[in-house]
Amino acid sequence: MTKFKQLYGAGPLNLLGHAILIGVAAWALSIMFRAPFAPQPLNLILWLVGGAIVHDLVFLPAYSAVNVLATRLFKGSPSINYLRVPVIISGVLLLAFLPRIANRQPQNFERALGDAPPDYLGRWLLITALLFAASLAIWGVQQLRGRARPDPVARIEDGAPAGG
Amino acid sequence: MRLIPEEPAPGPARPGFWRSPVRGTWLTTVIGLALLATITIVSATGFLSHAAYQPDLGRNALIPREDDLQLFVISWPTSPSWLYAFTQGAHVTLGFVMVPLLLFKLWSVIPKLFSWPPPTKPAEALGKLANLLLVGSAFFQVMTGLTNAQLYYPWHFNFVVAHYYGAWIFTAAVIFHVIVRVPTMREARRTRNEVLGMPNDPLRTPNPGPTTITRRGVLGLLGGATGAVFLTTVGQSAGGPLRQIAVFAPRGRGEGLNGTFPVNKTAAVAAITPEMVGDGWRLKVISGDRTVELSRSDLQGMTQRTEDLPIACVEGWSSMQTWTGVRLSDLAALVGASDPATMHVVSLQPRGAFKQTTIGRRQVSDDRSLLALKVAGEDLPLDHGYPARLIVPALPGVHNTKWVETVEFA
Repeated sequence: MTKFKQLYGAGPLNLLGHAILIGVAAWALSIMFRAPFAPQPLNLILWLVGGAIVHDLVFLPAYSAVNVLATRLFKGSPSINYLRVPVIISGVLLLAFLPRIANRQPQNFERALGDAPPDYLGRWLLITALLFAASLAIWGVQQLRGRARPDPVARIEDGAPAGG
Repeated sequence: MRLIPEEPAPGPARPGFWRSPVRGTWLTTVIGLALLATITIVSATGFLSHAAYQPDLGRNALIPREDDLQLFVISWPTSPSWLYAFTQGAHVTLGFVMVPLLLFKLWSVIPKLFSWPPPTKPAEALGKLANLLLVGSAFFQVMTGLTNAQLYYPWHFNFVVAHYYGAWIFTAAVIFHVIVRVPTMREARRTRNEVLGMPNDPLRTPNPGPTTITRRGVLGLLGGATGAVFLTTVGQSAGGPLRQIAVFAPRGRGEGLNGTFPVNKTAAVAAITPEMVGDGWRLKVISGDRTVELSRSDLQGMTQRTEDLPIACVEGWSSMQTWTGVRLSDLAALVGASDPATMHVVSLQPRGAFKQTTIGRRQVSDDRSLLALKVAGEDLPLDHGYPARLIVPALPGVHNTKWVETVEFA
């Protein structure tokens, strides 16, 4: 048993678990890749691994770099959240509804529903504008109040535990 | 001589490259549990939808029956009538909600992707492979599901087959991941209130950058992002005032067909012409060697029933409507079919996977199951299935066949 652990790096249950998972995946993939279902295997491969690769190696590093630059611009101040919050919420909405906001294949929409698609881009821009406006308004109120009652975000700077 | 240097090259594998002071196993655990709760519902409702299509009947199966791990061969119920509207609404709405949850979760664990040294033992290498299956299938399921629900088909494979078998990989990978991570989650819970957190927390940076947000702030932001996605989608199935703010879900605000309720396919795309549904239209009702042909006025001469039933699409939207027409059991009686086990319905539409469907005993015998001639007191519009369509409680929308030509009891 110790010898197995030394060679493999974990207990036999770990190996059994991996074997089951890989078995299920191999079975499922073998059907997905059958010629009638996936006439272009490369296309299916790209879809299967593309999301994870593009996210981990391009998207996440890119937004992390933007965040680092922006934090520097704000000199490490929590005020950056007045920008961060609307950007992230608006960005998540854009990602989730990208096909309709970017109006991809509008003919599908029209053929299925019987009407031209509504202006999803306009709706997204409006919501984005409202998010930024709300953030700006909250920032303005905080400025007017001065430092009389510091907001919880600002209190971090005073040395309270930040967590994490 | 070492093949792998002890120190990684400068870059994301260096300890301290990732500097967010809020990263840590506690935060990952909280986000992970929220994601897990969502995945559990999305996964369960997905498999339920598969069951709702009743692949064991007639030619309903969309994927090879001999390769279907149909673990719950259940006969799909008809009550409550909003069952499918609810399960599929939850499936699609929470599928959208998975976008921010997945992004935040992956952000919280990104240092692990680059952790140094690379795996040296088979167990570690298999662990990396399991993670690839987990993250790869998560993105695959979310991306294919969301694009399909938004009527965008940028791929060259069979969506139903890929999304169904992808679900098996994803579900297996999630279960395995949770089993592996339970001890870590337990430890993280114990250390929640300690300022120092977990000792040797692999997710805690040794080189924290400026603190601009608290852990609670991150969770609040995640709540805001999931709330925004949820509120702009959920009204497509929940209805009521929420429908007015479902601004991003296709058909969310009832889009389509100028003010009436939405359709999945117009008559034009189904290649239904006004001639096909004119005065010459006859409904064939068949049982064994008995066939009865009925004109629309014959059908209107039968006992008319009115029922409030939702039409609920696999793409997530649903709409409650008032239907008027002939009970399916009355049609069965017309050809002497008593307590039929199945009813096979064929549409006038010349092609498409849903030009025909088979429903089971529970559907046929339910008193609310109609061959509808009217909706909201008016003759069915052509796009909604004129001259006659099926409407059965809790049945997926596409099985409520429009432009019905033949019904056969067996």
